[in-house]
Formats: sequence, C-alpha cells, structure tokens
Amino acid sequence: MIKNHKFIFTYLIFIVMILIFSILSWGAVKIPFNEIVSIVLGSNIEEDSFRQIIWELRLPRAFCSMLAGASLGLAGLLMQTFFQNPLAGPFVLGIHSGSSLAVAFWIMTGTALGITLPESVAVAGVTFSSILGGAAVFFMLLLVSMKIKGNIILLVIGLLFGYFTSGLISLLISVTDAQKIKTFLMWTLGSFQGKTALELIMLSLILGIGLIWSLYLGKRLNVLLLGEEYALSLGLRFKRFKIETLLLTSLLSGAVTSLCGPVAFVGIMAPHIARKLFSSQDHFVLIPGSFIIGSILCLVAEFLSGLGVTLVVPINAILGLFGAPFIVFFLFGKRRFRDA
Amino acid sequence: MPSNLLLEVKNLSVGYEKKAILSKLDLSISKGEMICLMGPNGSGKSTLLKSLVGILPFLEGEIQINGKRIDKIKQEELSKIVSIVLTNKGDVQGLTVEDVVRLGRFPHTNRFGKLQRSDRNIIKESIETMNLESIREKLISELSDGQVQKVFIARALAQDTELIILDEPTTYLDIANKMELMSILTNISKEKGKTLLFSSHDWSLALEMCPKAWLLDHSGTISMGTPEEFLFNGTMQKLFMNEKFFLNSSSGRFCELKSTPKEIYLDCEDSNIKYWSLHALEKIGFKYAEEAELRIYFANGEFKIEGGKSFKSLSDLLLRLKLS
Repeated sequence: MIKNHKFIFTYLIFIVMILIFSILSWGAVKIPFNEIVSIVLGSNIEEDSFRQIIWELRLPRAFCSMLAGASLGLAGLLMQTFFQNPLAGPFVLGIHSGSSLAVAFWIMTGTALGITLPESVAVAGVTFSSILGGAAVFFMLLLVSMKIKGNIILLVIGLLFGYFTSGLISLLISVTDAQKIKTFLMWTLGSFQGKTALELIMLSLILGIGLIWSLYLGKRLNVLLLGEEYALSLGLRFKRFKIETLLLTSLLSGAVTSLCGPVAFVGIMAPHIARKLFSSQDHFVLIPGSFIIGSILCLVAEFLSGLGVTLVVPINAILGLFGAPFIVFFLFGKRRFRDA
Repeated sequence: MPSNLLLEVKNLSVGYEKKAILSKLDLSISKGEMICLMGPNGSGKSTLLKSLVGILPFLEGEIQINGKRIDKIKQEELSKIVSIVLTNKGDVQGLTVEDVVRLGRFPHTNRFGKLQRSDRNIIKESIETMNLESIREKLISELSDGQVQKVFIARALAQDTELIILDEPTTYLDIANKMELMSILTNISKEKGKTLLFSSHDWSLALEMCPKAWLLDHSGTISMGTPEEFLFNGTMQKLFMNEKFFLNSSSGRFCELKSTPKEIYLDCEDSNIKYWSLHALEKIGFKYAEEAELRIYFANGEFKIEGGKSFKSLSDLLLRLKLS
C-alpha cells in the first residue's frame, strides 16, 4: 500500500468517527458533548435517559448504517469486477428485487396458508429468503452474462427483473391482510433504525466473513481486470471463482437487505468513489476502500434522514436523490459507454 | 530429436462452437525457436493462438506441450508453461505498469498474491528487459499504445513460461516502436532462451526479423518454412496474387502492377541518390534501362533531362515526367 493510501484511509476513518458522533448528538433530545463521550466510554452519568437514548437508539442506528454500507460497498465492488461492468451493483442489477420477492413470499404466504410462526423463526426466515432470493437473481445474471456481452444489456435485464418482481409482489399484496402488507412496505423503504443487538451481531459476523473472504478473492479479482481470457491463461479456476463470488455477494447483499430493506445505490457508488479517491484498481486497496466509503455513504444518509428530528425521511428517498444523478453523471462522463 | 520438441499439433481443428475455422493442422515448435505466424486479417490466427494456450477449447485433434496433451494438463499448470499477449488489454487503465507486470506472477504466488524475493526479482527483471524502468509507477491510462504493448509483454515475461505467444504484437505501432519491439523480442529469444510464437499480417516484418514462419493461406493450410523460402518457391506470390499488386521476388516488396513501364536512364554518381531516385521513378511507371531513350543526368544537385530542362528537385522532375 502506498503512503498516500494510508493517509486517505486515516482521513476516511476520521470522517466515519465524525459522522457517528453527529448521529449520536443529533435528535429530539439534546445531549451535551461531554456526556456523549462519557456514555460511549461506559462511565456512569447522572441522567439515565441519556444513556438509554445513546445505547438503545442512536448507537445501534449508527452502527447499523455502518455495517450495511460496508457490506453493500463490498458487494458492489465484487459485482463490478466480476461482471466487468462499472454499472453493476446489488440494487441496479436486481439482486435486491430478488431478495424483496423472496421476503414478500415469506412474509405474506404465511397468511395465505393461515400459519403463524414463532417470532424467531419468522425473522430467521426473512434473512434466509433474502439471501436465497438474491442468490437466485445473481445466478440468473450469471447465465445471461455468459450469453450476452454488453454493459447496458445486463443493466436493462436487472431493471426489467425489478418490474417483474414488483408485479408479482403487487399480486401477493392483493391477497394479503393489511398488517402484513404494512410490515412488508415498511421493510421496502429501507431503514437502519430499531435493530436489536442480536441482529447487529449477526450482520457484523457476516460482514467480517465477507471482508476476509473478499481479501481472499482479491488476487483473483485483480487478475480478472485483465479480462476473462488473460485470467484463464494465468490459470484462474473460473468455475470455483464464480461460485465463491456468487455466494459471497448474495450473503452480503442478502443479509443487509433482510435487515434494512433494499438499500439503493450504495453498492454501485462506493466502489466508484473508492477508485477515484485512491486512483487505484488494486483490490487490496479497493476492498477496504469500498468497505469504508460504503459506511460513510450510509452514515450520511442516516444522518440526513434524521435531520428533521420529528420528520424521518426514508433512507431510500435520500439515496435515490443522490444515487440516480450519480449514475447519470457517470454515464455522461465515460465516453466508452455511449456506444456500449 | 523429440526431446527438443516443445509444442506439437496433430490434426488440429480450431474454431468457435463446433464451427471449424482452421482444420487438419499439423505443426511443431522446437525449444528456442522464434516463429512468425503469417496470414491475412481474419484468417483465424487469433483463434489458433488462443487454442494453443488453452483459453479456447479446440474442436478436434491433439495439442502436446512437452509431450503432454494440453487438455490433460490443469490450467494452473499450463499457465506456468505458456503465456499469451492478446490484442485486447482488459480494463486496467487504473493500474500502474508494475501492478500489471505483477499480475504475471499469479500462477506462482499464494492465495493472497504475496510476493517472495524471487517473484520481485523476476518482476524487476521483466520490467528492465522491456525498458520500462522509467515509467514503472505510471498508470496504464497515461501510456502510449507502444508502451502498453511492452507492459503486457513484460507481464508475460513475469509469468516466466517457456513458450510466449503474442497475438499481433506490432499492430497499431509506428515503425520505430515496431522495430524496437521486434529487436527486444529477438533478444528475449536469444538471451533468455524463450520460445516465441507471434502472429502478424505484416509480411516485411517476418522477412526482416524471423528465421522461421508459419504461412497461413486462404484455404486454411499452414506451411512451415523460412520467409525467404516462401519467397523463392513462389508460395508468397501465390498467396498475395492480386490484380493490382504483385510481390517482387527479388526485393520482397509489394509493387503495383503497371501496364508496360517506360524505360528511363539515370546517370548519377552518388549510388544512394540513384537508388532512391529510381525507387521514386518506379512508382510513377518507369523502369531503368541502360539504353533507354529518355536520359536523365544528375549533377550539381540538379536533374537534367537530355536535350531538355533542368529540375532543382526530384519532385519537380517527377511532376514533369508525370505530365508528359
């Protein structure tokens, strides 16, 4: 790693800390700076409600945004290199749609069949179906990308798949009771709030595995930059590599989606910003880079969503406002995509 | 001597999805050879080369490297024996020269790509061989076509294989870069003892630089031999037979076919000026003859037509002759 890179990483970590602190300090209840510090450091303070607000509301929010952003950043990076397509990302390519559909099935078919599951099974089911649904779409994209070369086509297929799933979901909604519909719709808006400690631990475990596994894939991802033919000529075992990437991406994206809903655009934006910032394509730089920039994006979105104090703007509204123009700018900026 | 044989191809058919582009090929490469695969554009050169490295499955027949069939060798093992430089250069705009060369060590390093001292030495050596030290830390996006080509050859060198295959390495390069690259390749073959196979549609390049060539013709057969041989036994002329051009078997150059050339005599003491002036005259349809009626004398920097005007420069003379 070049000296310059270390400097940028230090900077980014500093930004993460500022953002976390901003989320901790902003809200309906005003908590003084030094109290926040002592609460986080674990020392006792007089006002017990402050401690509760920090530990049970704001810190989990910040923590969840960070984990989700990092996971999506990693998933996006993996997908962009894997499909050799800068427009790839779990949201735009429809991985999230696959998760949504599977989750919708899980939440809503229960009523149709008249079964009530215990709480823990229901939650585990959401996670599982989210990962599975994501993996199914990824697999489908894999098949398509083997047949058709072209950046835009893959994107269009992802979008079409999104429409298809929303059609199916509407169908499901029309036969389900109002309570379940509300649960599902709230889920689709995307939220980093109200997660339990167990959920966050689960997510951090998956993220930890994801980070180590990505680094383990780093050498192979780097060689794929040369293109499939060079990678083969250098002895890359493609089948195994494909399966590993498929599993890892679905795991990362699915875990976040099950917990926070389909979070838009972070996956596609984080790797691009990382590439620009570090002016590098080396995955041993981009993996930690996308990880931390993904966190920053989600932290910013979460902070902005809570800015109105009483009026909470959904995460996806904010990310959509920033993400969609980002892609448009990207398309305009890259000449080679005009004729892709 | 079978032990000297590096690559052997028997009854090979190559192509895409069951559709053979070249078939019934029998070829061989001995260790240390430098071979140019010659053939017109779109004749299947790339397809053949990709099949030889194992990145494109072949349709029929057998390819053996060091006596082992390549479809029986694992791709990881094969990548330590043969490397390739392709015409496409992947998406590496954001990598530095050294990053790309380092990727050549892929088959030799552990899971995380950690470089040992020996790996670093080979990378350094490859960069030096290709004269890339001064741009070692530059991004690929900042380089010229010729430099990028050299980086990718350095990458193949870093892969440290016995056989290096290059697909059209000199296309898109200007003449100076072309010559430099060819002389480096000759060096690699002579000094490092590497076996090289490269394709080209540039006939003069093969004639100048390669002791051995594979000539691919329109019917899809490949003849093996020296470029000079192809010239004097007429294989080349047959291949490039055309209504407008022919291959001059004494110069090895392509010439335009002209209706009977007019005869001209040029008297000039400086043999260099004489050679190139005639070269120019041939282009506009003249042929040198001692007894020609049209006689030109060169003296004091002027061309003089016998019984006519003088011209200050060759181009003025040509203009005049063209008009008459």
